[in-house]
Amino acid sequence: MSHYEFKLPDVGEGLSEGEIVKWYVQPGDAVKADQIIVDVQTDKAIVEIPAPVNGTIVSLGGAPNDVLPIGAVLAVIETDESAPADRPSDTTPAATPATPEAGTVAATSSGRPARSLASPATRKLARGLGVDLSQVKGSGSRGQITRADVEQFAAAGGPAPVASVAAAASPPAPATPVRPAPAAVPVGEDRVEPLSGLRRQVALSMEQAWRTVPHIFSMDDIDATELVRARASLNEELAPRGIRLSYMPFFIKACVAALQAHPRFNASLDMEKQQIVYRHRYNIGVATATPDGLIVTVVHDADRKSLAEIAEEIASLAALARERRVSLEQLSNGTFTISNYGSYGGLMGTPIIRPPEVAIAGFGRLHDAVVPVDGAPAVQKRLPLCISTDHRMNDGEHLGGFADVLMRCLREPVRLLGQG
Amino acid sequence: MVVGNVPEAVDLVVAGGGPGGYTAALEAAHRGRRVLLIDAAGDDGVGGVCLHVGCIPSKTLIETAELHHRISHAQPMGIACGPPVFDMATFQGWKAERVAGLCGGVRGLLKQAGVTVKRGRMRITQPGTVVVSDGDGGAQFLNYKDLILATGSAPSTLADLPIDGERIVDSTGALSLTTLPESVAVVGGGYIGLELGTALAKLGSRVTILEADARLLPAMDASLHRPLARRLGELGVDVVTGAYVTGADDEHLLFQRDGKSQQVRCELIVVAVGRRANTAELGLEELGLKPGGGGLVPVAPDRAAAAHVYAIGDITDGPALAHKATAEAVVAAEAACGGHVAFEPQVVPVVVFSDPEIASVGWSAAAAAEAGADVRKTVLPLSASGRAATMGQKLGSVECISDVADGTLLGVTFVGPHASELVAEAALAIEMGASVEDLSMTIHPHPTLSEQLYEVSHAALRAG
Repeated sequence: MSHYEFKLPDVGEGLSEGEIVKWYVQPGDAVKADQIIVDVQTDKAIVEIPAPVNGTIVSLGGAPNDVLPIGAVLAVIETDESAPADRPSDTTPAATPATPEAGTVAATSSGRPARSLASPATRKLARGLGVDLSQVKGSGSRGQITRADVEQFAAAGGPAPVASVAAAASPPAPATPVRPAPAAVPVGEDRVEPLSGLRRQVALSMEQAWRTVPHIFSMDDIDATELVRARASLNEELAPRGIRLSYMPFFIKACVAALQAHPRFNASLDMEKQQIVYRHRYNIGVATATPDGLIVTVVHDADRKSLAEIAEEIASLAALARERRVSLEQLSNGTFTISNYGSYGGLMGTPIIRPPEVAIAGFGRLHDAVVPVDGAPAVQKRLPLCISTDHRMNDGEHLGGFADVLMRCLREPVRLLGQG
Repeated sequence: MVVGNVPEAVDLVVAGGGPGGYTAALEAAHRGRRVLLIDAAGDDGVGGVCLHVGCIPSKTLIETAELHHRISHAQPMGIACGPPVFDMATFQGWKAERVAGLCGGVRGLLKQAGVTVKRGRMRITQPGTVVVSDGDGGAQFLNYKDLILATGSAPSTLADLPIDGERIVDSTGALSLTTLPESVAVVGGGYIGLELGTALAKLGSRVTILEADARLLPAMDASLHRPLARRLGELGVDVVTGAYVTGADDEHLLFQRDGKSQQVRCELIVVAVGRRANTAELGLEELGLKPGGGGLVPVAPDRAAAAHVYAIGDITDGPALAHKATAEAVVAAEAACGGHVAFEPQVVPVVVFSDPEIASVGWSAAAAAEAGADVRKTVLPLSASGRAATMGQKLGSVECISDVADGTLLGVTFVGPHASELVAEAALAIEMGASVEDLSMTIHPHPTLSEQLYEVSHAALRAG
């Protein structure tokens, strides 16, 4: 018999941690390899994690809402096998960990218990920031980890200012006497809840994006008469197939056209390596509201798909997103994002870029407005839009060029016929 | 619920006023919580076993006994006086003053922090509710937001030796004697029995220590046994190992050894066979909790035992030591206030106030060997210490365990005078991840006992 430490596997690109949502097992339970034992919320989706070995659960590495860094012990399983069982390749969940980390015994080569050389105060700081010290390379002569090492790791890798969250969640001292006063003043307490789950992920990624990316915005509104007409006539044609186009497929196709004309917007910026990466695929993210927060699903290779295909894909992605059943693939590898805040009634907005992407387009509410046409007032369908780009990558001139192509394609949708 | 027992809403409740409990109360109050501290002895109980019938009284006795012993043995230094006369009743007054002073200090701290102290015994009736009985038939129900359990431990007993408080006493009784017994049998060779037995012997009692295991301090490293045995021999203490106590008659303690019935004549019998957690009456089952062996409550790293319930100190796993409880208390209080924290020390120092004192932190050589670790063990005898020589002390040693690969300090054990005062430096070094080179480059004042750590580190470095 041996104790197998099952560590939280890296379940997708760029992930540094996962939040325990729900355990399906308790200490003492027997488990079989590939039996789902826990749901873990990552930055992007809820992932079902199967047991890697047959055995008995000895202990769990955290309670629901606990955030564990990748590599932290998720569960200890008593097993008579020394190595993890081979993973069958047909595990069902789409988001199954791609590269489960092999279990390691908690000891260094010299045999002493694995420990990160860090002072108690530094260890506390790390715990508060959600930093797994075993992942931090210490700057000391024997790998000692300093406060600065932890802070740098947290800033670079992103894990989580849990401490401030927790501090905010600490119950305030009741200022009122124990026996409630007569209801002359409103009685009650502020409701405090932990920042957790998807809301926390949105908070962290937005904070990082807004802090690191210098945004510039270009706002305009365009004559959408032709766009409205094109959609109506295409919907007539597609109705027998049960397909109904929203404006989103048009936005996507128009953005692809603009991206093809201006590759600087279908790019990513790597400041660490001091590199610009021009992406060869056109993977357009679509922001979808869910009760818990925003999820961006990705239409891959939008340049190769028809309006109808795109329409069907975004409908199914939106449904999956609301049920939180999107696969990591369906959330990953975006090159550009669209936010359709107009569908919530907003006229204008300032969308926030999703690094490492360098641009995002936001579309406002389609509305009737009085505009001068040939010197006379006329009522027209107008579509407001706002494009944000990363000023480190693009200047105002670049932004103007990109906006120009995008707006032309939407003003005159027939131009989209000339696109791939 | 009984009509008339409308629960009162309270904020944070701490059960137990010992070092763990009062520290948790102070910490939570400092964080803005309204804290209610419940102790069976109320205001008079703050400080707990440690202050009233444990660490503090026993160290007062040990200090007194040591002074008595030194006066008796000062002749080689040129001090000649008649045999000192020890009066136990006077000592008890002296001890009570120390305890009262410290207890008043804790009371003051709690009052200053706004902690309300309530006398009573607490029991959980359902998640979120406890009942506190005051012992006079009164009971009050309380709805807590958070609950920290710190109810500590009590001396274990033996069925064959029921405590009568006169001839057969536990450690609490042994610290409250009004006269010095002419002869004492101490049942149990753990640290409590060893400390009490040694102190009484120094004061003039004829002491026999009986231990069921094959050696004294069975919970500690076997190598520590030799200096202890030698010193106990010098003090005239009889040590009987492998002894299984079967009972007592009016003049003797009866035991079996090697299958033969034996007896030792004694005026007083002190039962010191460990401690058990005070968890049986807490109503833990109402929270779905099942205490493990010895009544211990299982806890998460942040000391949570159940939703909004935390447990610290002797009722949880690990050595039953006050300093462990206080460290856990800080973590539990912070966790109860929403902090993302864990009790994760590298080391918990263990101290025995025997003669010579023993203080250990981190790995011993035996533990390293058991783990199959590649470590270096370096030992220096106390006779290498100039300061120890000036004190007329030469029984003892310092042992240092370090990582062969990079010299990281992994463990230190001091045996000798003031070992208990010396070990904290080693604990700090281990917590900070220091190497023997770091220690050998840290200037230690001369001539002091603290140089031992410097010297042993230097020796470990040279050996590498």
